[in-house]
Amino acid sequence: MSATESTATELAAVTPAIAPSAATARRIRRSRAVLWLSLPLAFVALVVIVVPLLGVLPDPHRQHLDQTLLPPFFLDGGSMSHPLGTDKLGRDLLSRLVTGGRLTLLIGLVGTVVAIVPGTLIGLLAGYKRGWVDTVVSRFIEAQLALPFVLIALAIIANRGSSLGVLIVVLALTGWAPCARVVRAETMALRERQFVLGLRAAGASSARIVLRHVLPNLTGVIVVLATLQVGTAILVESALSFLNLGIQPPDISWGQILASGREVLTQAWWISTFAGLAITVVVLLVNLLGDALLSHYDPKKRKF
Amino acid sequence: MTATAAPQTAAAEPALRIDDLRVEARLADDTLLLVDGLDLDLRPGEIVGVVGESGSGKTTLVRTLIGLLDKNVTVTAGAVAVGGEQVLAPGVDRTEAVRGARIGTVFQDASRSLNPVLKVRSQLREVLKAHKPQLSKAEAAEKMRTVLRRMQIDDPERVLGSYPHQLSGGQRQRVAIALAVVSEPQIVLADECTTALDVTTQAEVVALFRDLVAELGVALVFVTHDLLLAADLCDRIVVMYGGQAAEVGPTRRVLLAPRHPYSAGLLAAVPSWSADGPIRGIDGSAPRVTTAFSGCRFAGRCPRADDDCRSAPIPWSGAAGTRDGYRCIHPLAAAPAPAPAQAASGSAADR
Repeated sequence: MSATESTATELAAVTPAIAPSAATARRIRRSRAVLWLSLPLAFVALVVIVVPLLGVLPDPHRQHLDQTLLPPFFLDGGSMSHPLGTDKLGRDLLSRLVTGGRLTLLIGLVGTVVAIVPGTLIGLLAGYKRGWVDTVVSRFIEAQLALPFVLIALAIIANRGSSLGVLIVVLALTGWAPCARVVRAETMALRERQFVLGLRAAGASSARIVLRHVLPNLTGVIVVLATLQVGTAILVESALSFLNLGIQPPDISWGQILASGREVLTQAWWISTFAGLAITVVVLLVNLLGDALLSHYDPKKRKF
Repeated sequence: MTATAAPQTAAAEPALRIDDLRVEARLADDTLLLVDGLDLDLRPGEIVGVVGESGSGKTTLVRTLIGLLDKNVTVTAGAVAVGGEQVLAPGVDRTEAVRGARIGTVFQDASRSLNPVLKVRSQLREVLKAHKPQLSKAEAAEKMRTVLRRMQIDDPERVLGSYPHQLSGGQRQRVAIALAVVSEPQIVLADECTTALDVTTQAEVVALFRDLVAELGVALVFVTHDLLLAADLCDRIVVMYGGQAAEVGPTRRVLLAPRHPYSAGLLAAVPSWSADGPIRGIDGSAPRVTTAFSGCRFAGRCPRADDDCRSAPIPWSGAAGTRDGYRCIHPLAAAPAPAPAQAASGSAADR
């Protein structure tokens, strides 16, 4: 008995001494992944916000009807005066991409917040309260998921016209349901966990349990949902612009540039290609960042 | 052995008083009796062990006392008073006021009763905020360190800054107990809280409970199916079967000279170093007790049962002025103790 105890004490004394060094390294590596993925995104954001203010790029709305569909500088006929070429109205593509990035990123960000925040709260409510609240919410989620996105978008846009505000409303109306569904399911699993019973036994209120204890357990899920939603929001905007239902000229977005390039795809492939590349890179970076954040926020994966 | 040593001051107001408690679960086509006619007095500084096999109503009893029953389960008769104030009766539920504040609860598996994504510090602080809002930040921090030191945790600062998965099983159980007692409740309910632990840790947790009771004068309800642990820790024992108390009495008396055949059967089923031969279990399993059930709950499995046992409800046999006694019309002899019981409690004394 005493021998066992002393061995146990020795072990206890030794283990923490070994553990931190390796574990700290791992934690730093994970934080680095977050950092390395945040940097390019921050760079993109900085460029689209700051560069148009500097006045180094030509006016994105200025038409040069004598310089239409110029190729980018690395192709024959291209020049550094329009590094990425021009569109069919002779507007500078680089300038349009940089300016259009503002609206696109804004839509990605705001479109995520308006979908994730209500989706999470509704999911928490339904999953924790259960009963008739859950039944009503679940039917709404199902109804929402059963309706094709384009149908909702068409109905609203036909009625209200197309604007940034309407686009955000469309994103909120279509984005909350998948998020609420996942959060509800996770909450239902969590509320059966023993620590929730323990909290109730300790006299914690339902609101306190949900917001202080259940919600932090969902951080990983919500981060993933949010990063997916950023991508979705950007793509939704592009798709609507493609259908001429999105951002209307003279406002510029990446989706709109992509759509306008489609008509001249055979003569000027670069217009749609560069816009598509910009969308792809940003969506990819956001999703990778989500993965990195997921391991960063999960204390079990962040062993130290 | 401290099992029987505790002096019972008859004058002390019971911290917890349960009178004729009856808890029913309404099902689609049936009504189940989960707890039936249970009486219990628990004085400050007293440890009562509630033992019985799965399905005997132990956990329902704990859930009832803290008002966390499922929706279809209700108290249909009897009353529960905490510190002289009635908190539970048919149609009355004031458990919210005592839950956490005056009754602390420790659950079965500590690794699951802590929130995995919050540090121990914030979990303890939560409880203090809810029940001791008047404490300043510094006082609360001091209180958290004190309660962890009382739990025999040598480096409270490290544990406070840890996530549950970074602690050992024993440390987690101590933190779980700390969560239950940091608000200084008068009553602590421990529901099978040693079951998931290895024996050395069990012994430490038992020692810890004993110190808590001795130093703070809390009243402890120790629910377990481990008779040896109960023998080691408890002043009195309630043997539960089918939602009823089969036998209640001082630990030494119940274990050395059980009167109810079920108590004797439980004792015979305890593995022991000294006794030869296989462990003798009790054949069959706990009955499903509906409101239509009559007669002795244990009759189906009892070697002493006859027709009288099956025909009518069995009265409680107990000495006047105490709640000790047994529910059997063919009790075992009062003394000398039957052999299996001696073997079992003998090994308990050796621990």
